[in-house]
Amino acid sequence: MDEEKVIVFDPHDCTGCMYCMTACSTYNNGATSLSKSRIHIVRHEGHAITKITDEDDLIFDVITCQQCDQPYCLYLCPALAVERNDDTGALIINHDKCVGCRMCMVGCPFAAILYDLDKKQTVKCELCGGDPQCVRFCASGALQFLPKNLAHLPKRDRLARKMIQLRIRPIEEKPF
Amino acid sequence: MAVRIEKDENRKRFVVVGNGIAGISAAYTIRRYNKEAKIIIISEEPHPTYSPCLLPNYLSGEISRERVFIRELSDYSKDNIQFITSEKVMTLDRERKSVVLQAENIAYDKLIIATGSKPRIPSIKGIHRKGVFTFKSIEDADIICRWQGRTAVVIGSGPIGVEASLALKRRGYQVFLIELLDRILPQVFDEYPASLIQDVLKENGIDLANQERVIEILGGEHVEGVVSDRRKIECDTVLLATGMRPEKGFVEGILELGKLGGIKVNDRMGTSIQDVYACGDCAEAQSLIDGRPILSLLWHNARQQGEVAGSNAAGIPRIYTGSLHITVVDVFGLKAVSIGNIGTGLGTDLEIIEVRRNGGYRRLVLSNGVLVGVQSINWDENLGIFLAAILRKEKVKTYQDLSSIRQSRLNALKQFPFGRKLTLRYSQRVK
Amino acid sequence: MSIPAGYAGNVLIITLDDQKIDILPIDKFWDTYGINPRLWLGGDGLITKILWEDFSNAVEPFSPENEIIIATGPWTATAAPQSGRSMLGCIDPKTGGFGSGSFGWFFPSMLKYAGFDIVIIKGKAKRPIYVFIDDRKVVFKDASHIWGKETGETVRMIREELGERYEGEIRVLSTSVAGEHLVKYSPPCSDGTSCPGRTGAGAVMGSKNLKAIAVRGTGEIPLNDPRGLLDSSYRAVKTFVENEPMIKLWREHGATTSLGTAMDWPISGAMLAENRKEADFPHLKNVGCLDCPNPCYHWLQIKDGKYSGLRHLGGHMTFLTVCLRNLGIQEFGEWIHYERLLQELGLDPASFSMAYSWAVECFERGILTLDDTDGIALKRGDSDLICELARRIAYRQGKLGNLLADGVAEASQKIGKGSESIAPHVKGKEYIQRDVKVQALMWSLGALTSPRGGDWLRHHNVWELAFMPGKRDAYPKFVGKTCAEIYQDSLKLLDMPEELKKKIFGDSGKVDMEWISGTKGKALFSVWTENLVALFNSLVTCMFGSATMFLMVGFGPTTYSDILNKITGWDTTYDELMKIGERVFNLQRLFNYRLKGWDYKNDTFADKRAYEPAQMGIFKGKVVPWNEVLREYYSIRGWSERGLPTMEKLKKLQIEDLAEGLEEKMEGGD
Repeated sequence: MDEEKVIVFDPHDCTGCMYCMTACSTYNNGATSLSKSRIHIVRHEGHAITKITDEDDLIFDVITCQQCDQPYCLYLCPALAVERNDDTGALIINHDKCVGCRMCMVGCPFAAILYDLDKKQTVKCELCGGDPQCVRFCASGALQFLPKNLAHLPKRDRLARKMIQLRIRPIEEKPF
Repeated sequence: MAVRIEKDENRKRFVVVGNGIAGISAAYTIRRYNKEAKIIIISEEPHPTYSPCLLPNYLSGEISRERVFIRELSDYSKDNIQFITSEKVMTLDRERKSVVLQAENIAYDKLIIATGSKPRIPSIKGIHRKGVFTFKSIEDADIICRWQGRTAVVIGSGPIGVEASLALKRRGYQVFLIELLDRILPQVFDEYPASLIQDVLKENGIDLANQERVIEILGGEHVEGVVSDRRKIECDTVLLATGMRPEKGFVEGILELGKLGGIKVNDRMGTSIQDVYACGDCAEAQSLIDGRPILSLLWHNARQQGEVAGSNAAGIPRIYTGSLHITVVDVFGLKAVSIGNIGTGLGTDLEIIEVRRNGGYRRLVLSNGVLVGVQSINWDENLGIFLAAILRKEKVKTYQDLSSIRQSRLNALKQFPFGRKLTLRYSQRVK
Repeated sequence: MSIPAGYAGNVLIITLDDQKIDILPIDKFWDTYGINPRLWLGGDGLITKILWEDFSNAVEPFSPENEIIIATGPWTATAAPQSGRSMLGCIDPKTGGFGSGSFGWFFPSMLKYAGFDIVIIKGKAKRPIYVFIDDRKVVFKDASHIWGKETGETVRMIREELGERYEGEIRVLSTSVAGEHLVKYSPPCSDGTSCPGRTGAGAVMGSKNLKAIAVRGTGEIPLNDPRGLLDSSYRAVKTFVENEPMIKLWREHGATTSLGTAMDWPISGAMLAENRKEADFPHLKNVGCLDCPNPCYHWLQIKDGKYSGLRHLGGHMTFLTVCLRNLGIQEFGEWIHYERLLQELGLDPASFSMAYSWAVECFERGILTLDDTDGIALKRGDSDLICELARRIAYRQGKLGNLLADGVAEASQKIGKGSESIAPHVKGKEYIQRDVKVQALMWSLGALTSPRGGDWLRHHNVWELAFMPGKRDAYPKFVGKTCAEIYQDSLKLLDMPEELKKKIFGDSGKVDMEWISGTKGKALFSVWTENLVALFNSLVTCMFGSATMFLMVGFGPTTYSDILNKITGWDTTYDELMKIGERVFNLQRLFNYRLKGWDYKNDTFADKRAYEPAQMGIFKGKVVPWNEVLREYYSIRGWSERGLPTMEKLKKLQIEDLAEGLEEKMEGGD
């Protein structure tokens, strides 16, 4: 319980390869897709859509369940089907109880819950039982799996290195 | 999180009256913070906790009766919670700090009242004929399931009335839905979005009438028909869906009540008597939007109030942020959602923004520039964003400010200063 | 035949004339074309077989008879690493023979998620149109208002018109103005950034009045062993990332930087690497295709100079190479601007730069006069001039623009006056190196043997280059090891049977100056790499998987086999897969023979200076023994002295039935 880990994302390192999405769908659905992945990479590729302007930038962000400590999906569920997994701390959907009313989707501020047409129930990120595949396949390290109280460290470390580089040059490149 | 509990708190006695979602939320919250305390839930009903929200699904035949229950009898003892069934609390002895049952008194250190709500029975002549039902408890649902009627008149088009109509239609009834006010679901939808829902109901064979009052229920021992101020309808079933009222029961005259008829509570779910809390449908808490007293008799409010009450009772201070209307109705595939306040009756300084796209409709209700409500017909993508905006009391100028989670995330990222101030020297010619 | 897992399951055949759509289940399609998927996989394998069946006689590439074939493979769009690639094939406008090219970004994945493994486009539309593949629904849209627009604008307009629900949902493969004007080396472009560069298919699209193909796909790819695939992929990527010597540089700095560094090129390499440390996101960020752990696209912004403020996604090797080698452009901003311009106009950088380079030489020799060049004094190093000429070529403006738009081979035939013997092409297609003798032996050998004509991308060919003195000394600074050490490690990791390694590198198995300076083993190594390339172009996956260009110690046939088996449920082996590569390569050779009559006589450089003594490189002072090595090459391949596959070889590859009726011609004389 103390070591509850969560998925942490840094947009600086994301290359937009979306391996997290193909790994997620493959692991959870047994088939590869982007549309049925429980983690979603938001893409902005200005270069290809407009003539390049100053505002255009190549940016990626992630939408996935934040495993909230005060989750609206859990509060709104009339069947008490949204439960907390005691080992991983993840919010899971009990598929014996879910009636497919989609109230959890109405409540989620991150649009992180999907509706599965085959199951006729909702599905969401459940941290793959403690070994999230998206993190496993993220080659750039943009996605990490860290205890909540250490979630700030990768970003702080990166910024710290950058700040040092500004002050002292040259610098030995250390692998992170 | 680790909670420090003083020694003498260990064997505190917590009594919860009521076995609905508010009651068990309170009980389980207490157990989470206090492993040793004695927790007793007292219920009037003979069975474990169920979800009234699922009764329409049971009535329509979509789910089995077992699925309506969210607890089994054995579940309570797993968390060391004593569960007393089929017992009515007669009164509260505040000096001796105990609740009085028929055959015994049960002492408490902290008491939580979660007695829920009961259907309002309108004063209509003939209301006691056989074939007239309410639709609140599982017993109600069982009886209607066993009833073999053919034509039903549903009085009241709130969410319960609408869901009951859909369920009865599914069971093969011919359904007449009669509403007193000028539109369907009048507490949760403004006129235009309500009209969209009405159209779908009518297209699918539900006879719907607004601004009609039922005057008498005809028949002998059994219901044979209904007379309104407009017409006479032959039927064998009448379902009353004219609203719910807080069930104050044994605390009447003992606890201070609010203006709307519920047990008055502060933002810690505390009542007028120390160590006594109230939560759920029986309590009159404050609205999240404007802080005024409100009766929002909904599942998620009850649940949250239960947790807050339990938390405070267990010694962990917690504030209730307020009740919020959230209603979702699925009408023959058309999904209608209402969050927060509607426009009607909200007074001045009110702004409405309407958006239509691909057959979907959304209505934003702003009060002094702040988002206080959203209604959505056939367009429920990313509604959570609006819920979050209402909770944050977000100032909104146009619809685009909230248009999608992707856009809002990208906007945020784009504004983030990614070190553009650094200047670089790139052009370097070859020697 | 049931459809193995890994395939989306459908083939889309579009006939543009009457806007006809045929959707065939892929097993029916395989039956029609006599394809056993285990023999051909997908990608180039299928393109080769389809072209073989559909084109027994030569066709005019700009006639409606030409076809455009987009072929993914069972690897594409799965959770395998680097699964974002597809091949695109047609009859090449310049050579008239086999043409195909690889492209990526996200169009290939979306096509498979839409449910299609292959798209075949036939005929010619009456008016400019584009095709929208919306999952299984295929519609034709009017493109007259988009015709004439350049790449970026085209993509933007189509995406807006079709109404993306979110950015990146719809992917577009489009042709640009050069394709519309039938410039023979104009490639189509996917999302404005990834092109099958050497096909000329953009011009073929132009000739068909097909402006673009857009796709949206929301489906999924069935897998035989999903968890097994994840484990195999993870192992493969982890091994690659931990062992490949160049990988650290590549992942840190991207493709061009790492290669430029190792090659010690002036406007990239050390300078970019240093600058990158100072550069802040987003000004030098690596991005790439689906599931790629070592992305190669750079997101760049020029900070000062004439083109300050220009942003660009790309920074690819080819553009850099041609700028430095063929065009004399040496400034960073000019290089990026050039790349951006060519993507916008739709021009293959290699063919364009070679055409330009040839024209400069002709001008310097007086073969081209100011009259021929519309008054332009051609020279290298002037980026404005070069860009102006690129525009003229794209629009076929003026005498020179129109002349060079047909490519070096045709242009030199038109001009004559000895320009043919300084024209840098093989079989009608330009290669990339100015002086093939310097990059002998393996790099330039590929130009002779590639089924596409002049080329460098159909085999891995750079082991020799890295030992050139300048580069040899640059390595250690960035990679931490000497060149010899890196190559020694690579040899250990190279996924090749030991006996073969001994045959190529000798018993002592050292990759050193001795090996580099000789010819021993080079032909055999070429053959092996050609088969490997044909293999991964049939899977379809990325060439940068098997190597970060230099070292080939990434994914080899063993890894490919392991992962492919998890996808499909097959029990392929190293040998089986390499045989597929060999089969595809052989059929491509046979196809070119049947269609164009190409044999050993065509394995020649049009530029006769290739046969003079070299001034630099390992053959300094000597003539490069091209024909000798070619004979060794044919023999290793099991080909006749005519340079054609023998019936025995075809039997071994199980395609002898295809050569029915050809045996006599093949074995006979001219």
